[in-house]
Amino acid sequence: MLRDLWQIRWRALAVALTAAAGVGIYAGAEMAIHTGGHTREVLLGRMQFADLEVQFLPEDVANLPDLGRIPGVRGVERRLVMPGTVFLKDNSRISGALVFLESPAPAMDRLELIDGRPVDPADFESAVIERSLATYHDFAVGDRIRAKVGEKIYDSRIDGVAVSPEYLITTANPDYLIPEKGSLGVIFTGLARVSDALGFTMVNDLLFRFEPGADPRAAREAVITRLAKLNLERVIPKEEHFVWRFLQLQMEAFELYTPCIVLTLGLLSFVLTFISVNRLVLDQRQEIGSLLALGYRRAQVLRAYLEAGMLVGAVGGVVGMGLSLLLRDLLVRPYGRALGMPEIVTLVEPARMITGCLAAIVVTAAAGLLPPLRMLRLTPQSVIREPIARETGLGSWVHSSAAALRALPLVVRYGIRNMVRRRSRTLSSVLAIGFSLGVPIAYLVSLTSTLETPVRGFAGERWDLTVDFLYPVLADDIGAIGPLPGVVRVEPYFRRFAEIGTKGRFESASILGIQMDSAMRRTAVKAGRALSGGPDEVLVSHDLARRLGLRVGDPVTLRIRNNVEFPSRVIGISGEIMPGQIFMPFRRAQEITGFEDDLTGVYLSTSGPVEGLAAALGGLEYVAKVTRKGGVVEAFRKMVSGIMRLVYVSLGVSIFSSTLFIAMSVSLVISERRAEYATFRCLGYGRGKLAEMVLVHTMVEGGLASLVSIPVGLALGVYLNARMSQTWYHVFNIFRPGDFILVLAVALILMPIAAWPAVRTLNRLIIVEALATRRIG
Amino acid sequence: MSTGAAPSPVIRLSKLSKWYDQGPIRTVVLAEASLTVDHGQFVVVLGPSGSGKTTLLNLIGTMDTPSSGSLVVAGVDLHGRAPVDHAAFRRDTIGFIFQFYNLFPTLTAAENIEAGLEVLGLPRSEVTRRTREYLEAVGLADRAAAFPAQLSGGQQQRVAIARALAKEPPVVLADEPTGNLDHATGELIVRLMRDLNRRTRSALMVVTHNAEIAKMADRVVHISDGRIIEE
Repeated sequence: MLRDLWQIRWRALAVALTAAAGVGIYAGAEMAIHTGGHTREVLLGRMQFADLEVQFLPEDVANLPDLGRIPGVRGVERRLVMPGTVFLKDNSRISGALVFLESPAPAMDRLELIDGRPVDPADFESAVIERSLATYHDFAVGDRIRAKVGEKIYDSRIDGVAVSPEYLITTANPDYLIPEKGSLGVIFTGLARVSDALGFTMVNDLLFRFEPGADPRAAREAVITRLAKLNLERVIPKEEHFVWRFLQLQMEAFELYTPCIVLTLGLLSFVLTFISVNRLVLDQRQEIGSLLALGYRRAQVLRAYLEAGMLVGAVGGVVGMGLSLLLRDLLVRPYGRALGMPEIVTLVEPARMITGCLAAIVVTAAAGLLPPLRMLRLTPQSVIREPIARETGLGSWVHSSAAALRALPLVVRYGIRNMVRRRSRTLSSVLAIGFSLGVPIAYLVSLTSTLETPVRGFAGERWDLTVDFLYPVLADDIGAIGPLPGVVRVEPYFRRFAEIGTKGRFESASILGIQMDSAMRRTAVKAGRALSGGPDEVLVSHDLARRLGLRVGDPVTLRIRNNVEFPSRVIGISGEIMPGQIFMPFRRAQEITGFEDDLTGVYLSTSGPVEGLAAALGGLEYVAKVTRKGGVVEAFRKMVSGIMRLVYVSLGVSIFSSTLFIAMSVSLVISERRAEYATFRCLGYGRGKLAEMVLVHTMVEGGLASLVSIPVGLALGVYLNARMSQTWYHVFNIFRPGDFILVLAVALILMPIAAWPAVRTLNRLIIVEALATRRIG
Repeated sequence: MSTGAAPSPVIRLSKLSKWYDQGPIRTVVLAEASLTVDHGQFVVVLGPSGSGKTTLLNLIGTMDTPSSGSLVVAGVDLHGRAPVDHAAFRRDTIGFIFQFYNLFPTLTAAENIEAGLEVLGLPRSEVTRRTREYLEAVGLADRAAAFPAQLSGGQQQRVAIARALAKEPPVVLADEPTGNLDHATGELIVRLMRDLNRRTRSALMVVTHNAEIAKMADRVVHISDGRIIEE
């Protein structure tokens, strides 16, 4: 068996490498994905990340309801979190948040100091900064830092730099689920600092930790019930928090992409093993026949090939296991850095690695078993006897196309007809390579669609800036915005926390009241229709629809402050990037929340650069944050470029496997037709001409595979988009020729390299020996 | 390639030897063979299996390299010539006919002949003309579009002869050309080769162990144990 493998060592190596790539991608990508989840769990667990966060309009602690003995709740922590802006060293500003802590060492959402010391509650200048300010904006312990909240400026001294579980991944605007490294400056300081100024202790944020084993949904319901009298703005379960949810989304997106490449590599391994062993079996038919004639049982013969297949698979599997660790790090570490994760806690999953290795063994063993199985159905005499060439063994296509091909040079004709001569093998090779190239095309199609859908969506929107207010503001009080230089148009919106439910099950969400005749906003409707102004109509984001099982036309209940409920009807499902949204007419949003004359933010269309305007808006006392449309798009592009890494890895692996496959396929053809090539040499064909023949074969096979890869890539891309739409937002199918050209161009450029081993074999061909094989026809 | 009549021999070998070393053991397959063949001559090399006759043919056809001695074919001294040059030499000088025909199964009869002509760089019209001419000469004009699998063994060998001779080389080498054919077909094939040899004035060297073929030759060379023993 080992001698047989040595005889086909290069093909066996190709099989092993392809199998290794499959195992490596499978186990490596899965471990990378799970490393993301593992890192999240380890870090959030270590820092006691809160199970629930409730944000509400600032309230005197004396007016808070009794927070003790809420069913399922183990602990509560009070904070004041004020959005604002942070002045950087060059006096420019970024979005920021001042977190006023009751205790310098909170029990929930603990701060892990990486430099300096904790906040000194007795010192009103003492502050600890979140590490982003140190990492991306050069602040250090001992520096002074200023933050502006409303009209008030807080000047602090940096006593420490800390990692916070809330800001493992930072974003200036969590609504869009897009991280922006260094976009948010967070300063932790003592709550007494505000209390001292106000004369009472004001908070607007509560963190809850649930009892072990408590039902999170029931505990959340209990909390909301207890806080019913507060002006709730957001209720954020752990699973909906930006950090948790974003990582979850990324893991789910990556999970979508891995099976295609793994299955394709499995297919390649199978086909490559099959054709290699098939050739070996044909070469050894006389030996096999002789063994059978000597009385060896079929099972004994089969076992030899089974063992060979298993050995190659095992080698590939073991190499793949090592490769998986490399690929895991290749995928997860740069991506973690790109997101700004403070650390990556890598995960090794031996069970997954072994599963991959076993799968490789099974695939190659099965593929290695089929060719001898077919032959062993024959009698020993039939096995020994060389197959007699059939009269019309070339197939009718060759005959009918003979005239049509005559215009082509002889070397091309020869190459093409040889491919037709082994139709099954050519077909399997073309399909296998076509699928292999189709996968990265599909990835690119899907990522382009994923990226371009919101980009085009944003491009269709007329607003340039959104301005979120710290609290609901009377419409009459925003008069300062319109006259600001650069503002062309102002359009209010109203956003508020609400719960939406059906059949007794409720989910936390955000109402977004928008103008019916909005000149700024274009709501992407995935199903149903847009808002028409009807009194009970709502349009829900598709993540809510998925979680609650909502369809267009379904009745739903909106639960607002004090558990007041409003029956409504789903008239459409939006496909927008922002999750957890309930769209409704602006007026109705004001009415049901009890803020008839207020608004919580505005859309602005502008003229000219927006940087100055954004700064001016940040100076208004009621402005919490200003979001630039261009900034969101840019952040989105950066985020998607992280996923692109998997595509590039897959592209590399697919093209490597395809090249290997073609190299082996062509080499096999050459070894089968050595006598024919020797005859060409006898006729005076030089090495260049023979290389030309090999190239024709390679390029035609590669070209056909490229053609196959186009519909495969399209179909698979559409499938991935559909899956992505279920996971995130509605993704439209966007086909960009460049995505196809990139893969096919790289593949076609590399294909001549695949011909090199065969050309080398031909250059070393010993004519006399090759002619002695008498294997022609 | 037409050489026309020339007084000098087209093949001249002097003390040509070929041996293989396997460790201390040297196996001599051709020992100091000397021979000349003139243009247009039909020479049969007779000998039993393993006598070295195919080796002799391979050396003349530059498919193998001699261990010692001198070899001049069509005025080209092949001693010390780099193997890379051999392809051009074979293209211009040698026509091969094989025992198992060695036709390309995916090319038609006409295309098989063209395969031997296209490599010469002849104009397309000349390739077509010669292909037609030699197909007619071997009596297969009506089978031009047939693939080898659709032809009988004798027909396939006729196509192979046409392929070897169509390029009108100074030398045609045939290795057991009737070895795979029945007696009657074999005789027809040898007659055909002889007729074409007379027409093209190529030197025809046929290696065989069939004494019947020798009767039609201009000259018979016997070879045994790697030595030319009788001429």
